[in-house]
Amino acid sequence: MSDKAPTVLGVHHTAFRCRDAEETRKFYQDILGLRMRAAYKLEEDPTTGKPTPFLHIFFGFEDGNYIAFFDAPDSATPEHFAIHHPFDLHYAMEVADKERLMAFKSRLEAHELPVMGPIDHGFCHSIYFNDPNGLVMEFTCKDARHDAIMNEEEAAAVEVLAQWTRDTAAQKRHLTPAPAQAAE
Amino acid sequence: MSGSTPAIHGIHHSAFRCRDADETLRFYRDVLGLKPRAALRIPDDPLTGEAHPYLHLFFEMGDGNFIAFFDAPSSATADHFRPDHPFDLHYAMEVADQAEMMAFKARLEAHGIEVMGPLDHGFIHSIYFYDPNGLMLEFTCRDAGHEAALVEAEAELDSVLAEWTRDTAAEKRRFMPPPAQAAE
Repeated sequence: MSDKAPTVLGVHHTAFRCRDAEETRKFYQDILGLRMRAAYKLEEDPTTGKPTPFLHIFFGFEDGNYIAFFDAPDSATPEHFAIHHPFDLHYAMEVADKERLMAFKSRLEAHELPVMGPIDHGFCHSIYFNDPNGLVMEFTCKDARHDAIMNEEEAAAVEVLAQWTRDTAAQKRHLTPAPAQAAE
Repeated sequence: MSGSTPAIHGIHHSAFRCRDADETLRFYRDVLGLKPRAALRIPDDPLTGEAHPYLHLFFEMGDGNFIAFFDAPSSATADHFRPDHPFDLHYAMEVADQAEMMAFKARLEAHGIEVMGPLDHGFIHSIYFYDPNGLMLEFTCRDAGHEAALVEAEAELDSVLAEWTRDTAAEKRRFMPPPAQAAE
């Protein structure tokens, strides 16, 4: 079986922990301009049934995606809100063009938020900043060559990856084997 | 200033660390059916310019969104790949309906992957599982009443949020105030 996977349409939401729902609302709604759609107050962890009061808030994007946050103070610690390295986690939102990218940079700086970039990645141009929860945020706009570059990279991807796998296998021994999530 | 906010269209990509690009390719392409679009082999951290060789892997979903991974063995530790608690981080991908969701559940289980759910969240139904990197993934499908439920939630969110903020202020003192990211 399992020759053909059912279809993943896209993202519905990405969810992160927040320090304080109101602080997060001010940032995402008042500074970034997202529309807040829901604040659900819940009493139990839905995956374990354990009592843990939390507020689950959702902001909607134009394309029907959501970014969601959990405000769960009884399990939160200051370490949860340490700033991430972008290799560990970052979240890139798309704007139409470089003009809007630079308009966001000015707007963030007017709110006293440090902004890094723009950085030219070839297929996109990006600026970086932190949200109040330590999450690395990126605004990006596609370069005119975005799709052409992706097509080129797609043709090369399997070979680049195979070479990389060979080159890094020894260096990865301390990370493997993967936990046998399958075998329980 | 800041009278009008530039528009965020949606997500371009979310990026996570992976243990091994090949293992991640097998999971996202062969099990989940996403399309690998790029494997960029890059010698330096683009933000700091420091030597930090990594492979940056991109998969595309049906709606043009990407999920991206960093395979950067020189900075990876086994701790990076501990399973996340869903309050800290999870990533929800959308499928068309409950039939597709249950087809994915069967497919995942046939691959020996443990699946939780489906859970009925009122406006969506979801199943949960872990990717090989400890990232919690969700497959979700919208209920017929998805938009109506959010319209209702949106109408009450100011009062729900205000009450929650009052109720939890004392408990949050141990991880508030936020770092003054503004004041540098």
